[in-house]
Amino acid sequence: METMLEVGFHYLPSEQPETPPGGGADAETANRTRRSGIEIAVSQVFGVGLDELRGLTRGRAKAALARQVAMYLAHVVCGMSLTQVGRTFDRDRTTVAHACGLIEDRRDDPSFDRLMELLENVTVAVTSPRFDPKRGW
Amino acid sequence: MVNMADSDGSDWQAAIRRALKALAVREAKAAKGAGDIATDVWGVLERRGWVVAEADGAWRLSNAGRIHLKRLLSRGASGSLGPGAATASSGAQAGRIARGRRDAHVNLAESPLAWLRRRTDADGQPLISDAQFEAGERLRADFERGAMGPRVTANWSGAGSVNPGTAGPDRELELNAGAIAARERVRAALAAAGPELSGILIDVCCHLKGLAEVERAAGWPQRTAKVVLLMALSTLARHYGLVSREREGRGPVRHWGADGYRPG
Repeated sequence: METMLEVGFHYLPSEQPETPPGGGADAETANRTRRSGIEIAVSQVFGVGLDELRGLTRGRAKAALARQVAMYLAHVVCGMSLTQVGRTFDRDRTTVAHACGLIEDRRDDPSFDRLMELLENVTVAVTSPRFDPKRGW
Repeated sequence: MVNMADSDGSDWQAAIRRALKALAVREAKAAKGAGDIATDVWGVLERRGWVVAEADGAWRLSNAGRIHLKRLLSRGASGSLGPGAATASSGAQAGRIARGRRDAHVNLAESPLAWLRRRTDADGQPLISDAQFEAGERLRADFERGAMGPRVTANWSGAGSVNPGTAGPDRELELNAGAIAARERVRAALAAAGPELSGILIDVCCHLKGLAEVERAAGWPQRTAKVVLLMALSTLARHYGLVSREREGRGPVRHWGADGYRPG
């Protein structure tokens, strides 16, 4: 932690990405946008193709892990409920719960924990409402 | 990484969770030194980057803090057993009591009283006081010691003369003095509670029935059994001398002495 402060790492105040109220189509669209942002980041980090990540079946172990990480990030960073994550990722909510438990257990490994910490920061960035991939910031 | 005191990790977990939750609830801001959260907790939170100090001297939840809070809450919900995940609020707590070399597993969630004690009301206070809990558990211990519970299996001892010396239709004959004394204590306690309150004491403390079950059986409105149980437990605690009788003008018995006795 000290080293991060030394290199000038600043923690930004929290900006919870706002979900349009009342659920419905707006929330659905917002969640889909978040999903694609997370998936692009995760596919880069884990070296898994986007089509494999978005597949309807499990796929290879590598792809399954990457998908679990993506769902975990949607739940933890975006604050989406397990049901919302399930609907957005076309999975059952219990599948999402299983994925979150699995990833949480794997975070006992320090290197994996560090990876997830960095991915969390990336996720905050790509799901920020101020982030527009076409214009930049 | 800052390594928090691992010895009492669950205490830290609870304190951190409380602080982060307070921030999240109070619109992501809290005045410094406000509330019941110790200052050193804030220090740890700041070093970990979970809160940032605002210019006006208030704490504000950082992104990392919000994510960590979500993880804590989510972990509690899914019941994943990571290290340090067990907190005071976890449902099925299995306590271990060391006796000699072997450890006995104890189900602390067995009694409805333990559930009431673990739950807290809006002010963060347990639903029943220590004295009430202690009284209920003492009644249960006497009940068990006196072997007053129902017999679960069929009783064939009266059918044949398998062991005529020890088996008889009346179990009381076989009770030893300790068990008889325990039964006497139960009877005295229930008499002190009175006929209206003794029923729920037997059902909840001795037979470990749930409160909803008691309500259904007695035909009471929902969520009323808790109030009645609390009253009954208070009476019981007073009978056992666990709460002071100052309001009644006399204290619990501390010493037996004849007239004219003076402490030496």
